[in-house]
Amino acid sequence: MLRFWPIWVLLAGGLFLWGMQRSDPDRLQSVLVGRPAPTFSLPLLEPYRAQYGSEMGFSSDLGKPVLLNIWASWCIPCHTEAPLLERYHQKYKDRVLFLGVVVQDTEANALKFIQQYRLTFPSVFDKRGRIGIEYGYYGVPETYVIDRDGTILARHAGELSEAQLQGYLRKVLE
Amino acid sequence: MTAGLRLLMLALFSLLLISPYFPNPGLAQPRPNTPPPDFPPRVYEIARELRCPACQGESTAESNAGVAVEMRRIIAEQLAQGKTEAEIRQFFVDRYGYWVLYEPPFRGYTLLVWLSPLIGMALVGFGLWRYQAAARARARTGVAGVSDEEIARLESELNLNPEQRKP
Amino acid sequence: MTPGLLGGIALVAALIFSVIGLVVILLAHFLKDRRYVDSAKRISTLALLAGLVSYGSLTWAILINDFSVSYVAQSSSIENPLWVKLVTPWAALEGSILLWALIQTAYTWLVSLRVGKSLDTWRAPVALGTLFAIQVFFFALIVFVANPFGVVPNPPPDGQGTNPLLQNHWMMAVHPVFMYLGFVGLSVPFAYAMAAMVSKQYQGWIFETRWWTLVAWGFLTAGIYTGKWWSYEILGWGGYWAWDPVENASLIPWLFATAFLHTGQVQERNGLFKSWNFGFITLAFAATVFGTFLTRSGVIMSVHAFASGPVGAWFLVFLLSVLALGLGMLSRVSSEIKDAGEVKWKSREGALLGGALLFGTFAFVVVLGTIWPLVVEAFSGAEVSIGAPFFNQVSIPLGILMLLLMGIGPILPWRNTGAQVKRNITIMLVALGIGTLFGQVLGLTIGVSLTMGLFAYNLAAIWLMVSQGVRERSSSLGIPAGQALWELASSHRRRFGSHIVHFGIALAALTIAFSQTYRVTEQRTLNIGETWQTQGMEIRLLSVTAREEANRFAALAPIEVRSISREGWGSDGVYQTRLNFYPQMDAPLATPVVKYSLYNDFYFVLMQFDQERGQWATLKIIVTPLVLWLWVAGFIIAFGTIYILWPGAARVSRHQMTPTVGD
Repeated sequence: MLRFWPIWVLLAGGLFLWGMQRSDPDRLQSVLVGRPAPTFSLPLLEPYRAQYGSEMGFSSDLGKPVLLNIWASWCIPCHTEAPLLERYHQKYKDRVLFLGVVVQDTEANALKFIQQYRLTFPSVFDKRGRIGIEYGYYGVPETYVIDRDGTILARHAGELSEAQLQGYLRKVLE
Repeated sequence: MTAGLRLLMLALFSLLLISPYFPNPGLAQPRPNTPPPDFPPRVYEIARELRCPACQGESTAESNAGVAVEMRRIIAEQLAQGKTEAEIRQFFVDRYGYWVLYEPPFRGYTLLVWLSPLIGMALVGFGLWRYQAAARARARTGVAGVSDEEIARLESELNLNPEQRKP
Repeated sequence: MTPGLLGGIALVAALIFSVIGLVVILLAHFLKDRRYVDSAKRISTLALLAGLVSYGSLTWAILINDFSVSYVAQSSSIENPLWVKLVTPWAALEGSILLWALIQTAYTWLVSLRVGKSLDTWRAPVALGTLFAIQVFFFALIVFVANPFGVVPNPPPDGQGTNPLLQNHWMMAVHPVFMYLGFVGLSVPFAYAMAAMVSKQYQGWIFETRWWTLVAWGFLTAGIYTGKWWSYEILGWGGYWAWDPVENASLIPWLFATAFLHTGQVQERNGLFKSWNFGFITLAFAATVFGTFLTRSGVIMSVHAFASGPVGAWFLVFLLSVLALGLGMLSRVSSEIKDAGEVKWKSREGALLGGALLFGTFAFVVVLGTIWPLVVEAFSGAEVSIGAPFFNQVSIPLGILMLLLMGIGPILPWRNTGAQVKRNITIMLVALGIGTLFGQVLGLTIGVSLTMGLFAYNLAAIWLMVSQGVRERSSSLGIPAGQALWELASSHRRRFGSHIVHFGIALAALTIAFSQTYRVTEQRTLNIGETWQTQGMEIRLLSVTAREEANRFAALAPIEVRSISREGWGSDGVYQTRLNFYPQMDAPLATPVVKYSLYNDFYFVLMQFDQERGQWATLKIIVTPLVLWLWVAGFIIAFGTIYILWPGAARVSRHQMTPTVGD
């Protein structure tokens, strides 16, 4: 066994080198990708009630792809992501439903955030993040791409770049 | 400063553990000013075996991250509904994968790690046994198997006690 | 001269001295000229001095709040109390590597003092060369990659503060130092082993490194223990060992070093297992580097990790070099060493070998369990966790076997067994049976009962060994038993010390079994004045207040606890549960209040409180049996180690070097 020592050293080196070059070692995969998205219905935040009613959520009969974005007013990447989402919502609102889920936040702070970035896509309020757990979230922001049939195509953890968002939209609209 | 004002200050300070994406958000995650539910010991026993998704290095029992707090609440609710421990664990596995269990499943890739005590003992034991067999064989055949050079070296080493070794 | 400048210059000087030392000692080796060895000895002194100056400058900069030094700006604060400032040098990455390097220079210097004494001049160059090479690596790493003396052009008025987790308990001041003394200490036996392998003198090093290994082992044990203690009293989860990758990484070298301390005796005695001893020492040292790599590379997720950076890659290079060098030498040497002899399983040697088998297996399990998530991810892409429930379960059978062997090993005579021994073992097995039965009668779980039995069994073993020795001596010399015990204990320090350590280990095993099995955690929200009856206690919330302190802000919820039944005995008192808020931390730190008693240990944590009106507070209580005794066991182990190492033992150990003298 000891005779093969170069092999053992190389194996250990290879394993650790591979482990170190991962861009984000803490990133978790989603087990829900490829599975039907959990359905839910939650109270909408006040600014959207006039247009969408008092409650909103995901159900399989929407017949439209959904971009579910979990956010909170205290998360910094959410602040940079919000204007981007708003722009794409304006562009795609007929073809894709942009739906925000506010987690672990106060309603007042969430409303202030919406006002600050003039968000027109609807957001529901999930005070303790229960729906987040249904989707297997582990931080904010997180974005779930759900296709027309209600299957989760992808989960994006962390801030979305414009290119990434375009990619997801292209994928879901194919 | 009045007590009320101090508590207000505290409220400003009081934040929960933050999202893993941003180690230092600088912005406060508000802590709800409603008391959490009471947890019987069973909740912590189950939570201890689940990994906290947000902080990753801690179990759900230890972590104060929002996700972990909510997971403890879910465990308590499901226990109250009469669910078994296995069912509760499965609930989290369905959402987070086997990653969430600190105890790896007894099959597939992680079966090997369960067998590691046996494998380790077999490997070390085999090494010891082979060594012993060789040493015994050499002892039986006497010093004939040892090269002259080695005998000379051993002798020189034995003859050199610490005092003599001083140059 | 500013401390930053002085420190930076001293750092470069330390690097240069280390490089010169390495070159000179290599010349000594290849030219076989002992004058170079003498120069290298002087150079090691210079390197130590430079290291001290550099470390001193860092402390100086922290004390005078010189925020033009990058490390001070990042990791210190004006507000910190004096003791926190004194421990700040090892509170973050750069400083901790500097401390590491300083300790390495100290060990190198100590070894250089042994040249011409226990280390003959033929082997000294390789041993010192190995140490100098390690030193070069560390100083180069500090100078080029992780320099604490970076210049901050516009010094901020205050630094970013020290990690609050480290400020909360004095234990954190000593834990890293013990850890480094232990980790770095293992480089010395490794250097001796390299020297022995290169010079092909395979026997002598075992006597010389016995002391060094035990010193390192003692520090490592103390480091692991203080880590446990800190984790218990600070982290607020009621446990002391979480099987976190970094904790595992500190256990692996400990296991290999322990294996070596046992098999080394077989080599001392009859020259067997030379290659195994080289193997254990090489692996112990490699494991320390592995642990450092883990904490500083972020390759495996852990709570203890330092912020990862470019140092990780350098530690990987270092780890692979140590492995390649060590295993390469081992493979060459093991084909050359031709031990001849026989070991009977039913003898002391056999038991020591059994110990090697168990320690080796345990180390294998811990290594595999620690890196396996990475392996699984590399091969299948799946993410898995291997944590406490796994390690706890696999340690149970291994722990039981170890305790069995620990009792029986010292009872067995060298080479073979006799009638006396059989009687002793019968007595021990009876103790095992009675202890287990007693546990069952008390209604304890089978595992805990068995541990009680094993504790009794080990106690019986130690008692039999000591009492028989005393009786023989007092009857043959006609002296009173007390005097005989005193004489035996002072002339056989190693044997008596090992009894003490083994007793400490047996006690620790007992407390671990109890505390892991019977820990209870509960949480409840109380209004002011409300009482809560649980676990034999009546807990009343007195008030909820807030207070500003020097470097933090605290919420306080004093509670009054009264014991109302046997379970709650010892819990009485008024306790200040608190949450500490540090400006540099986003989450409050819940520092638990810990009340030890002879049996149950009570742990109160403030989880949440009414921020608006101060009307309610949520408390978590954790009741764990026998934790106090776990710390007592730690002190016993430390005492036993010091007992063996205490000066004066040297004469006896030289005596023992001749393989014919019995214990």
